[in-house]
Amino acid sequence: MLRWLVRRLLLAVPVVWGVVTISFVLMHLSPGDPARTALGEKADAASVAALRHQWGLDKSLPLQYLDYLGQLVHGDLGQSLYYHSSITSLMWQRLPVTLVLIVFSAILAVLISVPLASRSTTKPNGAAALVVRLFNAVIQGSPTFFIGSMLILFLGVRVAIFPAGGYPSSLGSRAWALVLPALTIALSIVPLLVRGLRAAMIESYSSEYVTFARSKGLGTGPIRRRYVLRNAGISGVSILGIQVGALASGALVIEQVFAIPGMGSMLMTGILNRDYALVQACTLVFGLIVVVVYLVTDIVYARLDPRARLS
Amino acid sequence: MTDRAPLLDVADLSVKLQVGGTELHALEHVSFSLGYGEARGLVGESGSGKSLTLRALLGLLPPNATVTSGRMTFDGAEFDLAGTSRSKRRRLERLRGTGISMIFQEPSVALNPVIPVGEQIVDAVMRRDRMRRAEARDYAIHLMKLVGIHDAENKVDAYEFELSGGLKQRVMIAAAVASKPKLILCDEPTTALDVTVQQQILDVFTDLRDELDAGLLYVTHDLAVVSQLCDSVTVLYSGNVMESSADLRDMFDAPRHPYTEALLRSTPDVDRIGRRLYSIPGSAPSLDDRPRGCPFAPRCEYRHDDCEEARVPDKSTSSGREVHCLHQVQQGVSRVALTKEAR
Repeated sequence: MLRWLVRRLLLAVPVVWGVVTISFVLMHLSPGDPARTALGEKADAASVAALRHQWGLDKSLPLQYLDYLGQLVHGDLGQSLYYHSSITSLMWQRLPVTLVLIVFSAILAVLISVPLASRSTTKPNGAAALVVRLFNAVIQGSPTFFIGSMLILFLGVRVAIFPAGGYPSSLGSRAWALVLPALTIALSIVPLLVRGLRAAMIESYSSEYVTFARSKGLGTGPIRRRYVLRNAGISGVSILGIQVGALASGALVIEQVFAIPGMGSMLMTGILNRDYALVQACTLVFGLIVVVVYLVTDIVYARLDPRARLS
Repeated sequence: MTDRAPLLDVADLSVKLQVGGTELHALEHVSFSLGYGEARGLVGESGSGKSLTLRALLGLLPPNATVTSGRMTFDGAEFDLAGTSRSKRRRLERLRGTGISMIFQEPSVALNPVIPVGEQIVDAVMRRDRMRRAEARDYAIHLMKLVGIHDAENKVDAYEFELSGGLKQRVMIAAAVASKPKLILCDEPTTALDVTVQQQILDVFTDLRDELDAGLLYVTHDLAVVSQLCDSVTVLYSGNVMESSADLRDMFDAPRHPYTEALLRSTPDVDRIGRRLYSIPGSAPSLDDRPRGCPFAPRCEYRHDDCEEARVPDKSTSSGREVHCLHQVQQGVSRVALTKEAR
């Protein structure tokens, strides 16, 4: 297990390096000058050049790249040009918010998908199956921000169960305020998750090992839990893992819609203000989140499926 | 066999299959019985309805199959196999893992790949007796030893894919006997195994029969296996019983149904090495194109004109012998000598 884990971690290194490099290259290839943006249209060429020199932007691209890598190794994400403060400390404020949002929406997605998939498998003509069919069509056809706005309209304004946005300071109301955004993000991956789980459950129900379990006299409850869901859950985990990328990009948009001070809104600010260092750092951290989630998925998968531990 | 009522009596079992819009009569009026502690072989080619028969008895048919008629008496209790009502299904379900258990053909697909094999035996143990899981686990280890898994303490936590085919089948047998059933249904349990392992598993069955005094309904296409393990035999062809005998050797020595005779003739025999093996001409009729009369008629060497006309009435010639044929083989000279002593 330990060797497997170490190998898996080593494999993640080139991925992280790729994320770092691509985010660096993309940002430096895009047009525009951060020094000019910072000083404004009317600043004279000399002061712009001075600022460029101060930020190291007059060096060649490979040199800047090496500088950047050197910083990263020391855990330094650089200075934000817009916020005028250390990105590392900004990250410590913003990252937890986004992480909580992603985890929350992943939990909601599971809580919605598993019962729906389970009910619609055992009762293919029942209400749950109908909900799944309608749901899949409606949700998959709508962009996340639209669903978010609709939820705000109906559950935040019309009925006003949940706040329409914001990020209160007290823990209880903060969790409450996160329900709608998390639900919005969760809904975007529910159709895929339900479909995958349902297919796996149907396959499992028609398998010989379920027939054998039934021949041993096991009831429908234990068969569903210990045999069908246990086996279908394995593919559920991998679908969820793959979809975390979608969850992260969902969080990016949804933080804007719900005015949540997470990484998504910070990244948007960075992009709009040509804050190189900030955008690079955010891209890197998002990339790291995905890498870590894939790693966790693999570990959970191996825990659930003994066959995966072999390789 | 004893004079008391049989352990299992199946009468008039018919099963219909729904395949792509057409209805196929997969089983037609199948009847047989089995005494306490008796082993009956249910023999036939693939597609003859052997496995379907077993599954129908436990209510484990695939969703596209329906029992259209059939009564079962098991250990004194009557069951309506065609019953669709909840209470009737419940009664049948209650038999599973208490009175009747089943062993499947492919142990590698019948065992759950993500649960340790020991736990799958424990499931069966707990079904019978409420006990603590640790106790049930000890009992599972005991059962694994009983079926010849020597290092059961290590194998109990193994997964299906870590075991060999023979070990997997032993695990299945352990799970099947866990509930001390009165009847074990065996669906070709040795077909997927290689020959030496097959022999070991057959030995396990022979030992268990003495130990448990359980009835055995053994489905196979292998006549040699039947002759080794079974007391009585029923031959199925295209969903119909052709011939049935309470004494296996009676039938093997003197088959009365032309199909039984043909089946025996097409079995390899050491005394006839080098000679061309007999094979029945033609192939089994597809279920939607079965002749009106005897299903075997088109391939039968003894065919008369009336064979294809009407269904054959039951012709029970002597006690325990049942032959569904209008023109039985008169001088049944078996060309094979498959007897229990031959082992």
